[in-house]
Amino acid sequence: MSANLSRRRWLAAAALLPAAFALPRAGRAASRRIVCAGGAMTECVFALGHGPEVVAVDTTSLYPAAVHALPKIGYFRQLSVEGLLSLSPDLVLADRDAGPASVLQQLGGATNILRQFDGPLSPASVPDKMRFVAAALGEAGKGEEVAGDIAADMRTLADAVARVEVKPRTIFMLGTIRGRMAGRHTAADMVMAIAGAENLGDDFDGYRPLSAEGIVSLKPDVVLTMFQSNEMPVAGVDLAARAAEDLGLAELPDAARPRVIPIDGAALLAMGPRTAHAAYALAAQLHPDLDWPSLPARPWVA
Amino acid sequence: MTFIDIDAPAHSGAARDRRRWRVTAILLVLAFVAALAAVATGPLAMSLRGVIAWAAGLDGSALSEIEQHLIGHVRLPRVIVAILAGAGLAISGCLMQSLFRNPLADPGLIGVSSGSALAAALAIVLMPALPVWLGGFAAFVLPVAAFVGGLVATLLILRIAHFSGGTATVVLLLAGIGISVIAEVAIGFLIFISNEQQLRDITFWRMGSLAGNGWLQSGIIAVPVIAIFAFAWSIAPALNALSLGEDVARHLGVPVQRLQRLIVIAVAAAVGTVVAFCGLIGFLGLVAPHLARLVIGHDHRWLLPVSALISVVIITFGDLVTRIAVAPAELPIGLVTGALGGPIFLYLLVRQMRGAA
Amino acid sequence: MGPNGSGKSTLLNVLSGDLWPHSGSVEIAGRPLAAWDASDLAMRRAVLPQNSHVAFPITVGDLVAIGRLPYRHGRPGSERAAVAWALEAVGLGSFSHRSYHRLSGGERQRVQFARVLAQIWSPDGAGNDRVLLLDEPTNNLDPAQRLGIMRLVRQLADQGIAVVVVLHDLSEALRFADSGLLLHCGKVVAQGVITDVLSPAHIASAFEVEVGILTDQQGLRHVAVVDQRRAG
Repeated sequence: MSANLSRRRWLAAAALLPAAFALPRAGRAASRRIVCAGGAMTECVFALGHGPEVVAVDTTSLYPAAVHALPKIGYFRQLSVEGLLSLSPDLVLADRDAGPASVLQQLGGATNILRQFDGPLSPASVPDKMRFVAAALGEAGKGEEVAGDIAADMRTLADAVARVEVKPRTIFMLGTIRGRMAGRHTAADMVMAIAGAENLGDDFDGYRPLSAEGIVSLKPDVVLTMFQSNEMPVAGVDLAARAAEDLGLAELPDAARPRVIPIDGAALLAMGPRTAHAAYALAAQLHPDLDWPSLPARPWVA
Repeated sequence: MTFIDIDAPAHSGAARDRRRWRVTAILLVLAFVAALAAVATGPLAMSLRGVIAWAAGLDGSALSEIEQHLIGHVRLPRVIVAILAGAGLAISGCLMQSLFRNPLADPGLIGVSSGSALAAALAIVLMPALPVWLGGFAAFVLPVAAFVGGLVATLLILRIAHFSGGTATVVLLLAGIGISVIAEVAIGFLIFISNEQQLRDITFWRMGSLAGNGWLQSGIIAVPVIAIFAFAWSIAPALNALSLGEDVARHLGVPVQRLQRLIVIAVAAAVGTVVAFCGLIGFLGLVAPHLARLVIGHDHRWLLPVSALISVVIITFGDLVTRIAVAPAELPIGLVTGALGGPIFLYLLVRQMRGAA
Repeated sequence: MGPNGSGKSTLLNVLSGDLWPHSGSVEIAGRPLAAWDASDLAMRRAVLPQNSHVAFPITVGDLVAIGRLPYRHGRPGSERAAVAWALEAVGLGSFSHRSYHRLSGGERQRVQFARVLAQIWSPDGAGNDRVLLLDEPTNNLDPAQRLGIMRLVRQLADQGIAVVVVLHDLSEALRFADSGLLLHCGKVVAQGVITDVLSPAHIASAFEVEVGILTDQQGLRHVAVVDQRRAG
């Protein structure tokens, strides 16, 4: 347990290194204490080089690895005003869906430290989210720069996807055992759209359970499944094979078996700084016949 | 003190009365200590001396501004909500147990919890579809929905019971079970179409929480809770009679049918309001009257205040646990009351079975 | 009186107001039941149902005190006096602190009876216009207890209380009642003075059994069932 913890700390430190080199340390109040509620908020803060100031995060914040060592304020929709205040933060950054509303109202009543992003949850809003966080940190200039990079990556992605002629028939499954399929107005739907996939769940909103038989009957080319960022580096485990097994697709004849692509849920669906890269990587996997030159390396994408 | 037992029957014995007073006094002290602890401690540590100095008005600067705000606008109303919720649930439990003449009855039996849960789930899943202009009122969509849902379910059950001839408690009970099953199915369907976030919201709501309740909420909850206490207190002797049987109560001049309807509506209003702002808080309504009965007997003139006090002590300490156990995050209060209540319930069940054999 | 299913309890329920008659009306002290205020009525008329299930732990004293419910706005001391008197009357004077659930079936029956007595007790002891409806009060009792209860019932009647008792034991009826009503399949077989009602002929037509009326040395009359197979 403790060995694991120290390894995590070490990983955390390692993950911070590039950020520390890439970003100027000047103009930052070293004593500032930031609490993030929402994975995308956390990623933005780290992308702007203010990771060391983060003192606590919510349970949806899984990236970068440094956050695993931080205290947890619980699920980002079940915050506790006193829990937040007990961290004596100078800034609480909350994503759009953070809550409950009454707790945030109380926090707002007590102090002037809450900044909640109220833009839409979409890939297109990521640069705005970055600017919002940057403004809250007093780093407008830096924010503009990072937001510009992300917007540029998004454009590169859009241009590359524009070459796609046949979009693969795709299902996104939330959970593999008794999983549910993504329909319209979901983060998964938006990601499929920008990565050049046709979402087969185009006749309903939200999520809907789908059995193995249901998957087969929809004749998908691709099934997307999700894993969490923190599960990623499991050596010797073929995530795609395991997901196919769990979905009940492993036994199908090769011709009928859809390709199973596991995606990093936090990177893709949280609509944070890593979304452009993650969607680009997904597009490359969806369309292996096309040429996908790498996106420029960004410090906020490991 | 509202519960002085003026004409205590002589045969109850001076010893038993002394015991009852002693129990009440101990519970009052415990409740006071719990409330004090809940106000003075929490994830944000502050010195007890500072809290007392500030509260007594001796030293206005003993606490920082944030600490003052935290005590005045977060902890204090929350403790008051805890006290009101605890008392309301316990009184409702007493009323339900007398109504159904079953010590294992709880407020959930008349459908108020399932109705609230369904409406809350509905509000959670449909919230994104609500018009944006709700703005500041958004925080009240869920409580209002939960309250209305609880009341509607209860009125529906009353109606069914009435439709099939009087408010016979058996019919009431069965109608309650039926409505609960339907509500559960509907919640299942909502879960079916919900997204991950909504699913978690529904789950958390059903585990209850006192978080986020301020003075406004405590003021709103106070109305039905004080009303149900006054009502229950005024009918305490009739409740004693009712627990011997509807016919016995009727022969003693109790307007049984009217009383039953009033009880059901009062419980629906009180529990509905508590549930609206605190979510489902399991087992308090069942366990508190039970524990009270063990220590002071079945006379409602004692049972009502004592079970309310027991419930207040449990929920206030329980809420303190939820706030500090996993700080800076928070546990759902239903987990704590359930963790206490479940084992107690089983113990009582076994005890009752043995007694009946 | 009457065989099982003849309508005894139903009639008692009509008298107590639990059931409403299709025709006719029930009057107490010349006033129809519906015209009574529930509380006033409860001070005049008490009912002992056939079986009472008590779901909660309660002491004998508390249970009997519930009978004083209609008087809760009256004099404070009267409750204790009524309870003490009622328990004394059923021979359970020392049982006040005992738990109801630890009593035998017969004792429970007597406690319930005491509750009903407490309900119509008044400090001046006068029983005028008071009505007691008892549904088989001697159920579950041993012979000595039955005798005790029936003597008490007689004594209450002698004080001027109108007592309506559903009885199975015809000998008890003959011995303690002034007048009787014999039912069969919901119809009145006979009514009037008890000795006339409980004639062998009436009993035979109501119970479909042959009986003889025996008189013992003390002049008490007993109903004895004739076993036809043996007699024949």
